[in-house]
Amino acid sequence: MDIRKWKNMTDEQLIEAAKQNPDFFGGLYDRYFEQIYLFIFKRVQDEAVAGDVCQKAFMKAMANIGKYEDRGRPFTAWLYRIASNECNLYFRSKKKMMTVEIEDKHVKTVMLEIKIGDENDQSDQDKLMKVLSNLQPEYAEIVELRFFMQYSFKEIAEFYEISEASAKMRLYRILDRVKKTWEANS
Amino acid sequence: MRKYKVNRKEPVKMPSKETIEKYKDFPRLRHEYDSYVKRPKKPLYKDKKMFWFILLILLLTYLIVQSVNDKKEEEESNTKSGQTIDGDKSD
Repeated sequence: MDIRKWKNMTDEQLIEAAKQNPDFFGGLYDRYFEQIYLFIFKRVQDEAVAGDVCQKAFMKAMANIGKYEDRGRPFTAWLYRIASNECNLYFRSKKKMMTVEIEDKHVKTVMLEIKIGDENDQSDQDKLMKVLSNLQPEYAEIVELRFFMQYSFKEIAEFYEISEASAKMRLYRILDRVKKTWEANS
Repeated sequence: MRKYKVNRKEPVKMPSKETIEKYKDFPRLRHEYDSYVKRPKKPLYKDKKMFWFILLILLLTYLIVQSVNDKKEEEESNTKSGQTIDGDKSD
């Protein structure tokens, strides 16, 4: 398939074409591989594993492109969901606890946002990590996306296929819960 | 489950563009897709439910054929015995 043909096509055109001819999926793969690879890498923190999981995620996307419906959300939102599920499957298959390493500057940002503890105190930082580790995975995920993966609210909204306002509300509700747990533990 | 840890050492290095390109391989994905789509389907008889269903149908067919044959044989023997009775009477 001639790559030059993909360049001028929109996502919607490529998706429709890929439903008829899988070769056109190459255009979407070419366009979004890097983005999805980095998303997976931030979770698995291993280049080779990220490559493998990324390939599996694209394989699933390619096999299910026929079921994809355009609901006005970006195509990447759909890809992110598949990639996220693939990461979870990877950790489940390895029977591994998903350990996420976070730079201390990001931890400080969360502490300042929720207004808890002393952001420079290492024991306070560790305590916050404990609270986050005990959160339900779906709650922890949104905190992770916003503060540790530096996603904008627009990107979070696309990820969950919700509006930006709902994304903000969801995050702040969870942060409120984190604060309450923190205070209860102090 | 997720476990969060603070990384107080150097920040996690993001992979370079070259590294990412190394893992980007559409022809491989296309090949895997082809083998996924064209994978041989499980033969019907290997499906447990289907196996019993096929067996049941075969058994029913056998019984029907058998009963039809029995009826035919019965009819033939009846007509034969009828013919001999008629023959006896004419004698």
